[in-house]
Amino acid sequence: MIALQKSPQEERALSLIGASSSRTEAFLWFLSGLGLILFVIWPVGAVLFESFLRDGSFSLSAYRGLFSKNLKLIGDSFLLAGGVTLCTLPLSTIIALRLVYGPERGRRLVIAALVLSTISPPFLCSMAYLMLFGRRGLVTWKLLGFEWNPYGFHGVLMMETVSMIGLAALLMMTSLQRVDGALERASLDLGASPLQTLKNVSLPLALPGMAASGLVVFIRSLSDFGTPLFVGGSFQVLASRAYNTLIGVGDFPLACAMNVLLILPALGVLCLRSERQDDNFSPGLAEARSLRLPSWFLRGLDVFAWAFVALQVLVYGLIFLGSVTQLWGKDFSFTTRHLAAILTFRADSIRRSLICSLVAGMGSCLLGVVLAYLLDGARASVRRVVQAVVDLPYLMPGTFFGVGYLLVSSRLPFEVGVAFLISMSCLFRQLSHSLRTAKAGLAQIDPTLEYAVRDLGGGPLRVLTDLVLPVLRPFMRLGFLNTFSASMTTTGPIIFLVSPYARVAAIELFESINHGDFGAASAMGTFLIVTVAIVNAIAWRWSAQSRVGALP
Amino acid sequence: MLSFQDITVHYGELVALGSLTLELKRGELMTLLGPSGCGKSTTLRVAGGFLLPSKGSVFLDGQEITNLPPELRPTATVFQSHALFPHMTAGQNVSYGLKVRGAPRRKCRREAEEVLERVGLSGYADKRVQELSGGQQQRVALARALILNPSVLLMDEPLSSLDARLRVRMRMEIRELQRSAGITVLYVTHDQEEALSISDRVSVMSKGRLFQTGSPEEVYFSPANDFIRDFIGNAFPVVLDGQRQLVRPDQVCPAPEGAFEGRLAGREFLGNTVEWRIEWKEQTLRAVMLSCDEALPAPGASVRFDIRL
Repeated sequence: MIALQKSPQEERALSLIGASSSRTEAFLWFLSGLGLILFVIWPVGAVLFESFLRDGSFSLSAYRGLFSKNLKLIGDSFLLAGGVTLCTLPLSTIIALRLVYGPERGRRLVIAALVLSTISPPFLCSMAYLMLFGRRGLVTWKLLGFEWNPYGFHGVLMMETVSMIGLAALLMMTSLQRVDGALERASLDLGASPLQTLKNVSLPLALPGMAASGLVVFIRSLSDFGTPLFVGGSFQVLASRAYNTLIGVGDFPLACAMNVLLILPALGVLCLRSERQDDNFSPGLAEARSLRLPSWFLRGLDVFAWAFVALQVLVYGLIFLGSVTQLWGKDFSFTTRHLAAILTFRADSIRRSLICSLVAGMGSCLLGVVLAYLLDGARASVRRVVQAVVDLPYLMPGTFFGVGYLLVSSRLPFEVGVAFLISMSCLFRQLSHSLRTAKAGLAQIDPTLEYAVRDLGGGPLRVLTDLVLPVLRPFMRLGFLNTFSASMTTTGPIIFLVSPYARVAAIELFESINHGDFGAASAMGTFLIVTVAIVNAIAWRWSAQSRVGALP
Repeated sequence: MLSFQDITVHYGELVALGSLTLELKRGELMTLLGPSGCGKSTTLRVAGGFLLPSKGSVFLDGQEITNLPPELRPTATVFQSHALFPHMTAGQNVSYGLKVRGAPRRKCRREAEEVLERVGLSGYADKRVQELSGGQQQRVALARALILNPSVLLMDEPLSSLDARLRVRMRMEIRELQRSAGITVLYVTHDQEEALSISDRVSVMSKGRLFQTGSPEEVYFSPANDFIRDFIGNAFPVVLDGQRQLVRPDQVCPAPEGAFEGRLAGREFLGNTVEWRIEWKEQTLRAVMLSCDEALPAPGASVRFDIRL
């Protein structure tokens, strides 16, 4: 039962190194604290500080400018984010319901499509959309007589909705799966029909999780600058204008003020959120439910789920076609030159992407475990503050975080490597997720298990190697994979960090789309998807093998 | 009124229930008793409609209900974990069954308060279920099932999450409520004392089979087989006159003029009762008696006793 049995955390899950631990622990606290201050608090603070500057002294002029000239921009941004959230939530709820209550057959395929859409580079939907309806698009160019302006509010709304459905549906699925099956059975037993049970019991109980995924969608939409840039046309939002302000005009205070406005919703989430939400997280799939929804209803859900799968197939099919087409919109003959080109001319970017993502992935899953262990024994107030600091980069727009890194690194007296900055920004931006998975893993280790190892003669090291690491391994793998995939494909936090001489694959993709070079963009997109998918497949294969031995 | 005909349930290879046939009479409280994994909860889930049997049929008042889904069955279940809806108040939990049948809000409220009063929780309708103690949650779960006037009330180890004293009190309350309202109850437990104290009839199960159905006295004094003799009577094997027999500790009675003589090898004081271990002919017997009746000899002394079979 979710709420009825909530035991206060009296005992710390692990005391690991025992009495001699205080020194080690203090050292770990120092390291992770330093990391958080250097790579989270400092950059975020720098952006806030910068937004209040004008010609070197304190001023509100940036905000005055923002609110006087850009009111419509602010309104449009929130309107768009609200619209995307409103469109995404029902659609992803439908898909999540299909996954939880629908038949086993086809479930894996739908999940694969959802996961693929969350791990693929952003803007791919927009690119596919432009390949169909853009100036040299397949439909507009080939099938004449089709009048359709793809650019504008509607285009951005559609593309953001399509690209957020995957994440939202997966989040929604987890919260639905957490609903105690006994409660559904109780409701049926008391005479409620399956649909009444869904309406009165399952959905209300999943509501907190659904609200959380709605907020994630809202924040992501608010901070997405790529989609409005590509398909917005004259329609602009804060995030895309902030990007232009920085890249084009170089007005730092104004761009920073815009970004500050963008993090307000994230701060709201942090203040409202209770600690309880993170409980009960587990990798893998829960078993089928006993609630049998009527078959006409399930068939209805199925239509939406498979429409989504078909859409994904279309998008990736187009991307793949684009990568082997001579010149999209002009010359549709077959070629491998784009694919060959990225391997020869872009090898440096690809190598940098891989290295940074590996470093970020491993770093964040390690730091996640260390922090989970430290927080487990910390006072509630400390725990809340650290958790908020960790969550902040994840919740705020990537560009904000990136601008912070840019401000800090450009004012240091010495040069900092681009790859290092990229790695760190990805590491700390995804730390929130790694910490959550590590916490969930740690929660599986009953303190008495540790006593049992000690009691049977195992030392602290044995506790670590025989108990903690085997239990945590699948959770750490999940943390690593998330950070790795996100780092490979993210653009927001790093677009201001790259230089013409040191770039990464996702940025190449972004710029190719921006220049309308669909051949190069498709090739890079294909390459990124394949790489991330391969790494994910390998890791899942491993975790599928090791789960047999894991604790229930 | 509720009858199981030849019910078989497979979980993959495992036979959870092997052709069970059982009939409940109107107004009786029948217990399904057995160790964990014996199939008693499976039987209850078949009765509630949560599990389709691989073979066999379930009848209620002569009507077949084997394939009737839970929401259409006139049965109501009190779940082991209580399964109270955490997002509703006690009153909302209790009136849920009426609400989904479209009863007006005022009626739901009134009836919920009435039933809560019957289970001794008047004035608790607006409490959140998290605010209630374990015993109170148990009562809400009971009230929620009772409000529908179910033909059969199914109870799945309803007291297992309560502490020992509360368990004894709640089982008395359940028994009184059941008697006064004449409700038919199918009650699952693994606690033989609970089963003996609460039931009109007890059905003893093991490994998916039903061994014996009878009054508590019948299964205690005339068990159908050695498993029941052991499980309910706590019996131990003794070779008497060259024959192996299972004897309950209360059948071994120390007496000054007893027919047997053995040696007192150990003693366990349990408060109101006391248990002796007596060595006799290279066998160990157990005897139990009221503490106030005990005539304590020195340890290792010889004692005389009777065996009343």
